[in-house]
Order: sequence, then C-alpha cells, then structure tokens
Amino acid sequence: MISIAIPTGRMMKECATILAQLGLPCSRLENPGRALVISERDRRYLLAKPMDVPAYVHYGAADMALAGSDVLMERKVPLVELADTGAGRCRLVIAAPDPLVRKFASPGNHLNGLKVATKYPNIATSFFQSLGLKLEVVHMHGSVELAPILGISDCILDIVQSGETLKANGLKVIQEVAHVSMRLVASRRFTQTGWSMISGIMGELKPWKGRNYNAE
Amino acid sequence: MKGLPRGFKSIGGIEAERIERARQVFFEIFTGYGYRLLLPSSVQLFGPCWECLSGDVRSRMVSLGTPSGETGCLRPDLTLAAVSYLSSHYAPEERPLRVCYADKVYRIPSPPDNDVEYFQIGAELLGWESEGADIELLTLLLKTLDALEVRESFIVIGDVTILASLLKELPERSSIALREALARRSFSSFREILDRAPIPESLRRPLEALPYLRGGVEVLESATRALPKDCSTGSVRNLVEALAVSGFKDRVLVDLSIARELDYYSGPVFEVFCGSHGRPVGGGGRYDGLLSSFGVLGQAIGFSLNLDLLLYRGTSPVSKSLAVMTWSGDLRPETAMKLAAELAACGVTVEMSWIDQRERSIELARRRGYRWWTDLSDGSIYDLENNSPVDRADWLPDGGRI
Repeated sequence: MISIAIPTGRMMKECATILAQLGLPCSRLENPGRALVISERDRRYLLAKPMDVPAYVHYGAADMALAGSDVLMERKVPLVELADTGAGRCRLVIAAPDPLVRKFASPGNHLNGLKVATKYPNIATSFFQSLGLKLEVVHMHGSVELAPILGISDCILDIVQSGETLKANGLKVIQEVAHVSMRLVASRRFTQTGWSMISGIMGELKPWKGRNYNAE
Repeated sequence: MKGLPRGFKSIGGIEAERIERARQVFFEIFTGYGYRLLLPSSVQLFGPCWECLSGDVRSRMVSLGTPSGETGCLRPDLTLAAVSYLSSHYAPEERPLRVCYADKVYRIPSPPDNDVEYFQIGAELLGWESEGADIELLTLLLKTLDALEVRESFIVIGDVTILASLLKELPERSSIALREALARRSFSSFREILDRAPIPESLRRPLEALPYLRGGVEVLESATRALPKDCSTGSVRNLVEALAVSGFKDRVLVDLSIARELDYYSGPVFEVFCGSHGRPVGGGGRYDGLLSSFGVLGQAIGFSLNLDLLLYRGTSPVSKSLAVMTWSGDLRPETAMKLAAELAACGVTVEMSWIDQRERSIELARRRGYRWWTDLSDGSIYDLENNSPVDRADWLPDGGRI
C-alpha cells in the first residue's frame, strides 16, 4: 500500500486532477466527506493541512505527496522534490499600500523595523535577511491583506494569483519573492524502495514525458 | 522539562535501557574486530569544525565560549573528533587505525525536528589502502543492524566521484547550481538547470540520466550505457558484489545520484534506512579529503547512525533479559541480597523490594511492568500476567546453572 499525502482546501480538487493525470486511482477524492484517510485499490490518500504535508512525508507516514512550493520553502523539510506539476501556478510577493510602495522604491536601512504580515514567517525572515534588512514579522493564518488596512503591519508577504484581492484591499505588488506551483515530492526512503513506481508516474508528467533513462 | 533548555532532553527508563543495550551490542561487534573505543570531548574548537564540515552541518553548529576565552562549539560531528584525535596521537606506521564511538552530537535542529542533541554510534577506519576497508566497515554495519534487530533495514550505495567527474567539465556556475540542486534533492530544479544551462550534449544526457540510476544491482548495467567511460562504477559494483557474497544481497541498493556532503566525501558513500522512517537514519563513506586536511595521507572511511531514530518506537526491539522483582519478606537484608545475587548470577535482572507487605510488593511489581515476582524467603516465582506460580527450574535460564 502506497500512501500519498494531499493538501486539503482550495488545492485539493486540483490535486485530484493531477493524480488522475498520473494514472492513479482517485475517484473517491471527489467526495471525501469528513474522512481524512481514503483508500482506493493499492493507494492510501492522507488528507492533511497544507503546511503539515511535508512532515507527513519526512516522518514516513506518507511515501509521496503533492505540496505547494511555497509550503516546501516555508517548512524547509528535506524531501525529494521529484517534479514541478505545473498546477496551481501563482506568485509569492511583497505587497503594500501606495505610500509604502514609494518607500520600497529605494531599498535601504530606512526599511528596517517595518512590519510584514504573512502566513510564511520563515520565508519572510530569510527573504528580508537576504536584502540585508530586518523587518518585524507578524505571523497570521489567513486574510493577510487586512493587516495593513487595520494598522497591524506595513506590508504583507503572500501568494497572489490574479491580483484581484490585493487590488480590492488597496495593495500593490512591490517585489516578487518566488514563483509557486504544486510539486510532487517523496520521502528519501521511498525514492529508493519505490523508484520503479515513481519513475512510471514521473513519465506521465509534462516535463518528463517520454523520458526513460533506465531503458536505453 | 524543568531545568532543561529547549531542544535538550534527559532520557530515562526503558528508552535509556534500550540506548545503553544498543551501545553495548555495537561495541561488542566492533571491538571484536579490533576497533578501539574513543571517548571524545564534548566541546571542540569552532574554527577547525567550520573549515572541515559541510555547509549544512556548519549552519547548524552550536557555538559557545570556553572558560579560557576560545570560541568553541558543542561537538557537531564525531568523525571530525575521531580524525583529529587519531591524526595527532598515532604515527603513520601505526596505521591502519580503527575506532568506534557511541556518544552525543549537538546540532541546531532542522525542521520539523526539535532535538539539539542526539545519540550517535559510529566507526572510522583510517589508513587502509584498499577497498577491503569499505567492505569491512559495511559488513560490520549490517551485522550491527541485525544484532540490534532493526526492522526493514537496508543500505543505499553511491559514489560521489561520478557526479564530480560529470560536473568538472561544466562552467563553474552551472556546476555549482547542479550540485546544489542534487544536494537539496530537488530533481525539478536539477531538470530546469539542465534545460537552461549551456551544457554539451555529451554531458547533458548522462546528467539527465543520473537521478534515474538507482535501484538494484542491475542499475549498474544501465549506468555503463548511460555514463561516459571515465565515470567508473567499479567501486560501487565491488561493494555490492562483496556484500551479496556475505549474505546481504537483499539489503543493498544503488543510487548513483547520492550527493552526500560533496565537500566532505571523496568516493563511495552510503545511506542507511530502517523501519518506516522516511529519511536515512545514518550514513557514511570515504573521506580521504578530510583526512588530508589534517595532514594525513591515505584513505579513510566511516559511518554514523542516529541511535534515537534507530530505536524510535521499537524500530529495534532490543531483547530484554529476564527481569524479576524480588521480595525480601522477613529475611534479613544481607540474606536477601545474597539470594538476589544468586539470581543475578544466572543472568536475571533483579529489583529489590523491601516493602514489608507481600501484596503491596506484588502491586508495585505490576505497576513497574514486571511480569515476574519472587518471594526470596521460599524461592517461589509468580507469573503476574497469568496469576500463577511457576516452576523455578523451568523459569531460570539454563535451569539455573551458573
């Protein structure tokens, strides 16, 4: 039985589509109800909070997983990143209200001490550190765009897809931090014991399609 | 826990017993093959550790000031301590040198782990100029895993010189980026870099194949076809074949893309897996380069295993000896001690119970998880699980013959 961790929430449907493309049995994922463990033929799906998915794989509870590259960056858990599925593309950005956009136009020490609200405290800390800046990170769990409006923070670091939510809350993108997409990951153990299955699956993914290096 | 900083822990009870037994089993095997014990210092100088250790370990060193004003660190690695000791205490003609150790290492935890300190067992063999050293160490490592009854254990063997050989012809920027991608085990980044970088086709193809060159021994045949002629897989093949002859055929896999701490290792490398752990519980390899940084020429190979992971949740059901709670009853303490010593001499672990009431002693034994309880005054033995007396001669190991 191979266990695959799947993030719950808005990406779950997209994950089911990816799994179907990979040829894995996953019809029961369409209506999981309240179940958190779903078995289908020789596969077991573990439905986990997105931020918990890497830990499931690291500790060996799941052999493989689909996880956002934002989550992988934030959690810094050493997993094997097999492929970029290309699904769920969005960007991780710094955004702020207009006055601060001008302040950010000339990066420098005057930005030290500003507050950044984010669901990604580790990414925020290391990103600003790489710019030589020390911002105060306000860790939030959702509706991050509210923070500058309510005076909780000066700017935000969050994912943005169309930019509509940012616009609706008077925020503008200052800087891009990273491109985000759904990645296929596996535990280091499973990449050794389950490689024949993994390479079969990867062969179905666009970037790897048609490549079979173990043959000739 | 009161009085302990975050990430540190005291271990007691059954967990402590399991760790201690595992250490004893490990030492028994390795000292039986001429390895000498090493008891390294808990604190090392920060500078030499920084220079010699790989980037990942460097960033996780726990620094501190020594009473004499030097910058030190809590021992982040036992191999370094071993090499440092051996290079400064033995003359070249005394080699080969064999050491084994079982002690704690200290590293800032990487997510999602929290522990700063953990137990490591390991061994090093320095200055043996042939592949016999690699085979010796891996055979003893597998024997140790068997002796510890570690479930589903296996090792994966690679060779870092293969990747180094493929990268040496590339522009430095591409070479570093590819190394880093493999070290992070990000095949998607590795793939992206290969697609973007100006790499000659003669190297692109083998590099593309590299992450796929893993599995059973048959992978070495694929490697012969996929890799250039100067990328020899001979060392890995010799190891795999030798271990198969030693009865470990089903416990050895090959992965030619292992990029284990490339600045540190310089030949065959291996990772150890067991139980349901998603990550390796240890590993090692040839580190001739590290040795030369201590002014010692020659070969060196070593390994270390994270004992906490190895024994976690009964991954290794180390067998417990027969244990009994011994009630002294009306006996004088010295008489009870003498009778208990007779049991101990038969290989039974005894815990004295000086309580005056028989029932309370039995209750205590149950609370402590003992299956066996004995009344030393009449020598009767009780099975607390089945609530029945047992025959002493049947119960004692070897019928009680000392």
